[in-house]
Amino acid sequence: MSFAFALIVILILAILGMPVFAVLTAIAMLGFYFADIDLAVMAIELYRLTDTSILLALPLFTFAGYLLSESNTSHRLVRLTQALIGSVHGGLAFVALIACALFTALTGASGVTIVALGALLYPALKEGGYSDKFSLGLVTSSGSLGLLLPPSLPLILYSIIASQMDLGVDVSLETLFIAGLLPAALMLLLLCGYSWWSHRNVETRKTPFSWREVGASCWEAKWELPLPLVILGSVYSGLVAVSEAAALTAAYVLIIEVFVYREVSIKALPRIIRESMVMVGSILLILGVAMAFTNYLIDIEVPSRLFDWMQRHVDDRLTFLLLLNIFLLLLGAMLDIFAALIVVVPLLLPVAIGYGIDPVHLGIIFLANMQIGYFTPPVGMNLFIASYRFQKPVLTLYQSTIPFFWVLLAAVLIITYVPELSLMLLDRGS
Amino acid sequence: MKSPAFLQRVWHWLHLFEEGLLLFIFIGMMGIAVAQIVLRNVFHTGIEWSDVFLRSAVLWIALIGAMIASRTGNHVQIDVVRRFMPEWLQRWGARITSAATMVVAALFSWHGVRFAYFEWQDQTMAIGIVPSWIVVSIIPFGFTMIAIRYLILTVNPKPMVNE
Repeated sequence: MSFAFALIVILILAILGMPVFAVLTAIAMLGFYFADIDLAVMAIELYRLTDTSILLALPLFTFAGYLLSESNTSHRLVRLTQALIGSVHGGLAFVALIACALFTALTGASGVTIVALGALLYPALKEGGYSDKFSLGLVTSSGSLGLLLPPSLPLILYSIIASQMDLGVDVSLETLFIAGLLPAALMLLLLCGYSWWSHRNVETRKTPFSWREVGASCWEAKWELPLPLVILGSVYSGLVAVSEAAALTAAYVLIIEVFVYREVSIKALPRIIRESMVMVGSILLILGVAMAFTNYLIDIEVPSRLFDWMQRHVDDRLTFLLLLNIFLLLLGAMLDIFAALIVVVPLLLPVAIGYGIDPVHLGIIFLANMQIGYFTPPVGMNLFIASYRFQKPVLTLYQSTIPFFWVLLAAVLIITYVPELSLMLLDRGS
Repeated sequence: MKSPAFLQRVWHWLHLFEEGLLLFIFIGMMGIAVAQIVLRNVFHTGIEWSDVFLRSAVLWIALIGAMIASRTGNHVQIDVVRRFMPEWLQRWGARITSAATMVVAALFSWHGVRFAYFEWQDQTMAIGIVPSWIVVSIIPFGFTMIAIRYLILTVNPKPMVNE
């Protein structure tokens, strides 16, 4: 049995739905076997998961996110945003967009936003005078909106992968957290603008502004309001490392939701820990076997060959970026964001650096594209979650998300072709 | 297909064992991480083995989480094509990919045993008095469990659900 034949068999199995971790393991084992390398290297590479302590942030932030989505944080968040900006024209749509972005960032972008917030916002939007199609499109496409805001898990994962590659450039989490701020703001701004413009002649409901309501909603959320401060403050003050900030966040959220708000019972904790760690486990396993897989690819010089090949066909940066956008949109529609990050970033990063693209900027481009992939037909994950949650046919959801797709695509193109947007706030000054 | 009562009992205990271990490690991980921050910043001291423990805990969580995910074949996969296949083809596709996954996991498990054996021969210590072969042994154990679960999924494919 030749190498090429076996590889084709594995790829067919992958398309048929073989788990990604098994596909990567199989290819790496095949390669090592033909290169006469002892296959114990697979286990040794997996053991490298213990090399870096930043990985600790992943299970801890995920757990905190699951806890928040089990409690009534979503209600408090919506109430607070509504009190603050519900009184302007089109304010309800702004409330929905901002609440979704914050919630997604805090809960780690796993589709949970649609389940937790969508159920609240979809009926509220319809009642407030927005059309069914618009409301549905908004909640479905906003389920991935906070991907660029800290402490989103894909952002953390990108930093982990890029840091392992010894690029000589700062791709630390702190840098990425800052770089994502303006691009995320741009997306929010464009979506708010579209919502306002599309309903400029429609009478939508406004809630009158009252200081009393602002105060009451702040008071109700008083334990959760410090959360962004706990996370960002501890990271930027340098007092603790990111993984420690994750531990503090997890412990803090655990205490307030279980003992202060009492919305999560102690009995529910084992289930929440299990569910969140099953998600983390399947991501980490892919990450572990992918380290062996990418090492094999680097051994046979795939990234540099890929770059040479690209150089022969694509000579300027703009064309490369355009191809990158198309490739990432397709990838995002086909593969889970975590698996896509783990498999593609190690190959893509050296090529992109060859074209003079800043690794931090690439990370932002990558995630911004992936964010659209979440609701791109035919298989964007959030389409199916929304279809299940709101009991609507997937086809209806395809149609309702189309305008939002174009708006976010515009944002992604600006983010891609204006690197300053991502790099402006950093010291490196591109 | 029904398995004998004895096997079902063993299976039940294995499930409980996995979940108990996961809880123990997760709570230990969170507790030690927080304790370490408090000790360092308030008392200017620390737990010597905390860093190694925390990093090893991530490996254990990865494998135990993956083991539990394998119970229902709940791993990340490309399902673009499968979604549009007729049901009988889906079922056979699932059988074939599960069988292949089982083979891969079994191979991994075997090489994990060898890696743990090398570590045992080296007598290296990982955390305090805990030798590193014990930390490593989660790799063969985890992949053995994954292989067994995919064997079951090969015989009894689970119908595809749209989340």
